[in-house]
Amino acid sequence: MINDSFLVSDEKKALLEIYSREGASAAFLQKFESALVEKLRQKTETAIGLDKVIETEFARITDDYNKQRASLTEKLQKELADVAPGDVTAKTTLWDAYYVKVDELQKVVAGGIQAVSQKVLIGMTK
Amino acid sequence: MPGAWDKIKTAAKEVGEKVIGRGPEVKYRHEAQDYSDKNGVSIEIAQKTILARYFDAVERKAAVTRAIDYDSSEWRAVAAAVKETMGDKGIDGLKKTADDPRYPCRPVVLSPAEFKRSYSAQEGYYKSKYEKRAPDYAVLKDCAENAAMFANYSKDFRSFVSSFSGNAASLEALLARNPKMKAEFGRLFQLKGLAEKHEDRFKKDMNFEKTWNASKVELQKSVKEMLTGTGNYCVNVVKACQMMFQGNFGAGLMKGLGETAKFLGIETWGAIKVAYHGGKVLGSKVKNF
Repeated sequence: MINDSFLVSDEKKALLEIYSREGASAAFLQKFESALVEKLRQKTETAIGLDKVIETEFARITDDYNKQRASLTEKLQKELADVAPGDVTAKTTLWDAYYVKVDELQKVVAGGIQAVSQKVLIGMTK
Repeated sequence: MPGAWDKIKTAAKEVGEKVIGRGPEVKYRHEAQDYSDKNGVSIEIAQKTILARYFDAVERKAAVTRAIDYDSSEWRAVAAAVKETMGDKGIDGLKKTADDPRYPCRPVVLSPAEFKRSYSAQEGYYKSKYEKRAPDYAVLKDCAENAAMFANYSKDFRSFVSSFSGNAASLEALLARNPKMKAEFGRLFQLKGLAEKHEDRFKKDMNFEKTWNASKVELQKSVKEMLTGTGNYCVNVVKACQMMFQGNFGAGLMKGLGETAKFLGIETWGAIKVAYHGGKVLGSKVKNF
């Protein structure tokens, strides 16, 4: 059980030494349990921290995206207002350019999400 | 009169056309030919009559949806009629004329009430198709204006075609003599194209949002699984130790797991507790989390 546990090798080594010296004594069990509780507490803290990272980063990315898209839309609406009524080609050109910019923006967001994912996955291995 | 072999060749060719998605073109060809045969009129007159009928169908559909339908089979039939009578580049020619500054677009001015109605129609169109969701104001506003223009030009063009349906000239020849109408016809195709663009984009945005949300859920799930795995391991250790030593091992550990439960939520914690206590303790403590 000690060898299979998620404890780090130094902790395993120390526990195995005690076990070989004392066997399954009350003191050994207490040490083993304390080590597990401590590790579990650390893992919980890490998980809570990572969950916060996910929430915060996604909220930030969403906020940035919404702001930038709103700004692009506002610019487009101003440009559309100058187009002669019924000039479908001119309107289409403006919409095309707008959608290209939205694509670029979404690529940035996808990159941001990838970075957060990497950060979280690295955090999980610690 | 075509011989039997010619008929077979034509039938085989038409099957091929249907396979490559030109079924509406084949249908138009047959309808025009049937009309010509039954009424003893030229094929040109028959073609214009069938096209006018197609425009009737477009108008009927538009009266119901008040939007430019992405999957409109009625409009697809009109496009087929153009391709069949004016060739595959016929639509491009119409659009080109629509861009000619000599034939500017007749503006369609909407009163605030008309705009409101058209706007709601666009919103309704999207919501009925896409999980009760619709694009933002800028897109819906554009769709509302485009749908109004489309309805107007479509009505005009239908009248134009009908008024010349008895004329022996082909559609192409008629349009060559009436470039303003040709431009308006081209504008209908442009408007349909822009409507498709908006809808394609909306679908793309929805997929993007779904992927985005799924990424978040997946990440949170991974973190949760990491911790659940750790917690479950601890429970197994406790159970094994209890069996081996029949002692009080695990009391402190359960306290430690309490913190885990706050993060994981009651369900997972409930499962851990059931595993540990054999279902005995699932009362007030669980509710306190």
